[in-house]
Amino acid sequence: MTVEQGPNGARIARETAPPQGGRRWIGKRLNRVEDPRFLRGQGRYIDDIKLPGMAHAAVLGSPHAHARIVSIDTRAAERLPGVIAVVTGEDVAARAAPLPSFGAGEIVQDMIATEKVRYHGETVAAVIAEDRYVAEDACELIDVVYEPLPVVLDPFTAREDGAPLVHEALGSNTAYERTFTFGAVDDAFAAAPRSVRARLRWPRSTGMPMDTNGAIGDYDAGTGVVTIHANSMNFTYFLWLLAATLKIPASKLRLVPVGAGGSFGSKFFMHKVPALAGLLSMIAGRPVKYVEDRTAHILSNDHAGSDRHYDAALAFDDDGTFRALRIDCVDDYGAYLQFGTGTHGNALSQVVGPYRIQHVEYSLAAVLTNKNQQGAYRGFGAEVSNWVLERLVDLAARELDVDRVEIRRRNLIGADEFPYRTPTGNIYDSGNYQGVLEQVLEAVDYPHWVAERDRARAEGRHVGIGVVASNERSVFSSTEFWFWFDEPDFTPTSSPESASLQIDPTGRIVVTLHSQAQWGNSPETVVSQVVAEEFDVEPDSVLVTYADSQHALPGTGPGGSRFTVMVAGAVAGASSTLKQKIRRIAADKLEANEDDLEFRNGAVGVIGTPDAELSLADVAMTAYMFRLDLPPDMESGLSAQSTYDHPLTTLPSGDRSDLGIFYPFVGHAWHIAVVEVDPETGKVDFLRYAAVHDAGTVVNPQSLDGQIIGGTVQGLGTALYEQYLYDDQGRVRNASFEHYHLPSSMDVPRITVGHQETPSPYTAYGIKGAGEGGRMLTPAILSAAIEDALQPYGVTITTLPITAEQIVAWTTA
Amino acid sequence: MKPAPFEYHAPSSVAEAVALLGRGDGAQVLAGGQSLVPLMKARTVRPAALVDVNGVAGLDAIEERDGALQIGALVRLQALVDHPGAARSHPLLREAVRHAGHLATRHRGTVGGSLAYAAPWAELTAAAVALDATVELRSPSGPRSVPARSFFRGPHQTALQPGELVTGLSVPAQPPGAGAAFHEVSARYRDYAHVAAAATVAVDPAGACRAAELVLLRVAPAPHRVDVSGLVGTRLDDAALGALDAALAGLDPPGDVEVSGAHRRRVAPVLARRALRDAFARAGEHREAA
Amino acid sequence: MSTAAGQRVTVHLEVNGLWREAVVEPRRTLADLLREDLDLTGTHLACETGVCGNCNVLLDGESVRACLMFAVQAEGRSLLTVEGLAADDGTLGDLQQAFHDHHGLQCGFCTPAMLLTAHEHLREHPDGGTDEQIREAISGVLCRCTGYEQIIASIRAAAEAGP
Repeated sequence: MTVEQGPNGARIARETAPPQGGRRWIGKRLNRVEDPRFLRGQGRYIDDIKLPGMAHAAVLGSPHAHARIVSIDTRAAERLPGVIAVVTGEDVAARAAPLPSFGAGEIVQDMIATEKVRYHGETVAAVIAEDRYVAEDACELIDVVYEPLPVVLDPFTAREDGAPLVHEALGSNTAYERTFTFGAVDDAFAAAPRSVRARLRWPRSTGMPMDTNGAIGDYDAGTGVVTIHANSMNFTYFLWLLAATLKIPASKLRLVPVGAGGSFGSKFFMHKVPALAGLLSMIAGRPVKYVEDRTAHILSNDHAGSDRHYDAALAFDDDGTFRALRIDCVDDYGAYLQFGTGTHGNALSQVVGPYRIQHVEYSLAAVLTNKNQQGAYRGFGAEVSNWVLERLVDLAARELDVDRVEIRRRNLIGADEFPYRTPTGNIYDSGNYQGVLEQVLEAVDYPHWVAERDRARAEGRHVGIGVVASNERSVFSSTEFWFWFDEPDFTPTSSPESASLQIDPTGRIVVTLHSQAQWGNSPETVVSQVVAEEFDVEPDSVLVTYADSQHALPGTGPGGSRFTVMVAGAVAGASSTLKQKIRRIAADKLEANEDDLEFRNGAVGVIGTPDAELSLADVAMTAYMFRLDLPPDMESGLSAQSTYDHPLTTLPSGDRSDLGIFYPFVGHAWHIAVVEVDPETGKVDFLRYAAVHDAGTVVNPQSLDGQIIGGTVQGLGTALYEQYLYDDQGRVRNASFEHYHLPSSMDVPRITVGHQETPSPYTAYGIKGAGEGGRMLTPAILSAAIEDALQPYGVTITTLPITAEQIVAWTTA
Repeated sequence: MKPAPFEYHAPSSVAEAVALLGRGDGAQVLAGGQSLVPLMKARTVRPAALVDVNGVAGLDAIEERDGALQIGALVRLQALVDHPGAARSHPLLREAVRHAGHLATRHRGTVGGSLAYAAPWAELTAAAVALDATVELRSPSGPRSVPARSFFRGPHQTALQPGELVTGLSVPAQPPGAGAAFHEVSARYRDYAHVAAAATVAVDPAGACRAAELVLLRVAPAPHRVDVSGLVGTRLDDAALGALDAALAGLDPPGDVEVSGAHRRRVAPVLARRALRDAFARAGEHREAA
Repeated sequence: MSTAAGQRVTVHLEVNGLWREAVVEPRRTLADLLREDLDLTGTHLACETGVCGNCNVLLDGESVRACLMFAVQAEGRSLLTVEGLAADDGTLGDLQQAFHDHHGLQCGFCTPAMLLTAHEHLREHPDGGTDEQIREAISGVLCRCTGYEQIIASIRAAAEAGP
């Protein structure tokens, strides 16, 4: 590892030299090594696992959004044959501490509600039984007496004096409020000849993986160790918080990561389900499985997405040059605030998007209401911010009557301006925004579609085009979780990822990862490709395994498009150490100079001398068995580990006028969509959809395409279909797949994907994150395209989702 | 999400089934189960007993007699969609029922279940009303027939008496060369209809409308038959269809969790016109082909 | 046949070519019979209300939602589940291989149902039909990862490779 001076005084740790020459394995379109087990139906998801003597749990959720719990009578449930125990908030309070929180203040969340419930579906009791059917039978027999309390559902009402309090101890429903100013915003707005302003509404939706959250607790009374198999294990270095919840020493918590059928943020820091399964197992004295059913997932898993009300403005010159951006956001966080306001820290990392905007003001009020708390959803708040920015840009184009591509092109940060310091202090490491734009325009033949749209419009058809851009910040440090506060309690400054490499005595490479097992991303393929690159072995010869938390090195897991970048760095680091040892052994045996050795085709050999080589198996056998053949200062065995810290981050300034570098590896993308809207039914058809992304060095184009298309379609759901619907008492009205609508194959366009590669100068191999990019664009592009299609009606789209009903209301108004 | 316990009966004859249903112990019929089972899992419905009629003999045939169709209650919706004779003699059935859910649910869902459950979005109910079909019922006291046009009373409400079993649907012969069309809007592809329109049109040798039927779903408590007799003699041009607006002006459709009544009121005339136009065009094609 | 609530009954059915039996309550779903009693956990439950199609299996060759049938209703019937698609030694079938080659899966959760639904489609349309027909065929199985594009490409490729 080398350390260099980076931009803005940053210290850059490099695991590898910048790439020289071609690569053998990184960048190849390889089939995923994860696939075969899934294709055979052997995925072993959490609900597929059975432990000997395992009992099953079901939970009872509150039918009220806000109510005092007067009494709970569990006697009838306990008498039901097959029931092992019924657990209420009182039982939990006696044995466990509140759930972990990264947020501020007096906001306490328990595994099972005590005293009062604060959202519809909050858990009020759990049943442990011999099977799930009986557990659900028993839930029906629990008699809870509630005293309904007035609900507060609208964040503006929640902020008024006299509003019902979600947390009495807090004394207010405004959990957090602050305005950040970067530059001379008022002056810039006063000086700019023009501006646009919009009130925008982004409603709450969620990641909604097909596999719900689940865990199996397995308490060993003999050792006191609580093993929890769970389909999430992010932030291994924060799991002491979960141990604290269970009131056990951190050393006695063993979380075993189980692969998941999707997360999209919904399992980012999974807390309620594993904590509950662990506690229930401690109570039952035997393994207990708890897997959310769909209703429980919709109601009581963290509502992953943001729930924001914006008043936003963009100031610009007559020639369309952007000057300043003002954003005022009221975010309806729901009843708890586990992650604090990190989703806005995320937005601040790229609040100016790909544009040169010098002055930014960002106001946030984080408000508590009687809804489930927010969690994380693909984009983590930056996708919302991007929608707001692109809406403002489209409005500016309309105000100036200029082409929407032209106004964007005019303001793009130039390829020669990187690393680019944004007003908040975060940097964009590298990019070629003009290049990506030109590629996407060419991919669809943009002038052709403009002509088609105009021709269709002349015929009375409603065809519209959207063209939007987005940056994709990747790899958070951790400062975004605390730079909100002048005197934060806790100031973590890295989000590390680790890898352990071992070459077994037969020469096979085993890699151990230290966070979440795969949940739809491709950790095993990525790692296999990086290992193959380093050692020149066949990727499918590499075995990837996952450590449990008792054995885990610091790991953060997928999130914020960080995993590929970070795990590649960790694998590169461990490889470097291991290769050094192999070189020494081989140099000794081949009587060669270490510097003259190369890794080739599963062997290490002298460059230019094909016969002078040793297979990795030969080296490994020596390393394990023949101590006396090794250099005298060398230990037996062939393994190495590495923990890769965030390679480029700086602290915020004391006055927070500079937030520092916290999310610096920044990809870039443009999408173009052509839609046709049926103004009489509101149906939206897709005539063309193209995306071009620059995620730095591409590890595997096939899996990258999958991430981009999948993210794009998820964003389409946000744009057109998905939202939580509440009645006036705060009850969720669409807590099932019947009415919470995920897009089907017939509701989505054919999507073509192109790539550019502008490697990051600061990461291993130049990789940038890419997991969230698609979802960063679809809400903005569908807003733009549908608005364009409805141009004859003078519609301005400011609210999502854009439903058929809304479209028909516009066209018949 | 598991159902509560129930007593399970699997009769093999209609007589046995109606005897079980006639015991008055709250037994419900289990046919395709595509609507009933989700409700049982949510425990919003918890029958003490289920009478599973899937093994009942003699209810799974589609038979043609002089152009009329006799459709057994256990005919799966997909079997109806796939039936070439039915598609020829009564094209509206296929046009309507292919909108019902997805292949896997149509493989289980039955004609009898769809009629008895009378979901307000059930496409088959609109077709049955448009085609003036008759619902065949059986109870311990014997068979009876109820015209579809009086069978559906409201959302999930029918003329079915406690203990009675739907045994089939009888669809009378249609005018030769009649065209049919079905238009539907839903949140996503093949979701519950927000609004739907079923139309049949027959034309005279000169190509003018000789007879027409229009039934709308979700604009009223039950499938709503619209008086379109004014279209007879016309070629369904804009002026003729314009008269529909008056017939639809008084509608006051209910709203629900997905869309408002106002949306239904706006979209219903659109689908009505489209369905009638398509049915008319198809009738014309039949005429030319003949 | 009548069975009292809570009473158990023996169900016999053919799964992937083998006759199996299990003793279950009438309320046990076919999906739970497969998963819990026969340890065939490749049939996945995502909504349990028949919407997502992730539990699709082929019943006498026809796709059905395993979550919406009771196990007792499968008495004497023949089922194909994902576990029946690969060769006995685990070698992937052609359709599975096409999904592998074209990245037709990410998290893998909907994959068994997608495979079986595609299997049924290709039986009825050996040339794959149009892309629109492929989209239609899988529209009753929800996938949250892929955006469907590469699934459609996989099915198309399997059709082109032929039986």
